[in-house]
Amino acid sequence: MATADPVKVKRIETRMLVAQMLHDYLGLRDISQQSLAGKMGKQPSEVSKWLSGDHNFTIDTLSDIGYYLDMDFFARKETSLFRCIEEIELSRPGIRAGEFESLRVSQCVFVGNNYTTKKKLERCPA
Amino acid sequence: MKKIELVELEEFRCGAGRVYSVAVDDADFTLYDRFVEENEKDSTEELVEIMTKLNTMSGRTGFTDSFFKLNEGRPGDGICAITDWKGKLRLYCIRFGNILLVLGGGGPKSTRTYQEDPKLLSENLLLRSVSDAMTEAIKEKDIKINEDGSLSGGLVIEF
Repeated sequence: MATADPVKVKRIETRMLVAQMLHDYLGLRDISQQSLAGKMGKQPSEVSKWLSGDHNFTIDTLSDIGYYLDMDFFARKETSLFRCIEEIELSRPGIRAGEFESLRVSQCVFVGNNYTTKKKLERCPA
Repeated sequence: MKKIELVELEEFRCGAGRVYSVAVDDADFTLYDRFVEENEKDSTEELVEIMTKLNTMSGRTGFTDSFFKLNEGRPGDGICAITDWKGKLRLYCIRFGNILLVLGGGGPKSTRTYQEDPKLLSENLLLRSVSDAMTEAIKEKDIKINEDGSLSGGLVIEF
């Protein structure tokens, strides 16, 4: 690997990671490659090429795939900017929404153990 | 009678899966070492691309089927190939799900089918016999594939 151009290496990695995102999404939603191709008016071989990890996606192609699959390749992960400092059980008596006003509260609502909870977050140090 | 030893390639031990290669008849190099040596001079760019793919798969994605050219051997023997994006260089391997990959040899592909190229054909046939020997050893419980993709048991097989 000594002669590898790091820029090219990063490109190869990125193509594979995007393909893997699409592969995982199709698997989770039980959507076949044929079905995606049909929705988008493409040949199945084109979807197969997207998933090969070799394809240099254009922004338009990613946008189109996102549209047809209701998927956002560019979704911001809040966990990378914020960290959880407290998990609040909203259904617990005595906790009011007003207590969150001075803090950033994530949009995620977690339902588990019979409680509906929100995570109280603060911005991670840069 | 042939003797093979399954050797883990530590440079690809990155968390998402394990990569092994094969040393044949007590050789002190593996088929993958030989593949690198044979191609590093004339197919440097293609070789680096294949190595990067192996790094990315072993470290981040696992050995997802869509990253390989599948069905390069007999039905069910798991033989597949990794190529550069132009398909000029190919490396044969045996894929065991998303967690374990056994690398064989390969070479540049200049003919329409690998069967027309004596070098690729011999690498393919050698890996088929490795696949048969491994399948038998797994069936006999001489080798076990662990949850993390590592192999345990007798990694030297005679057949």
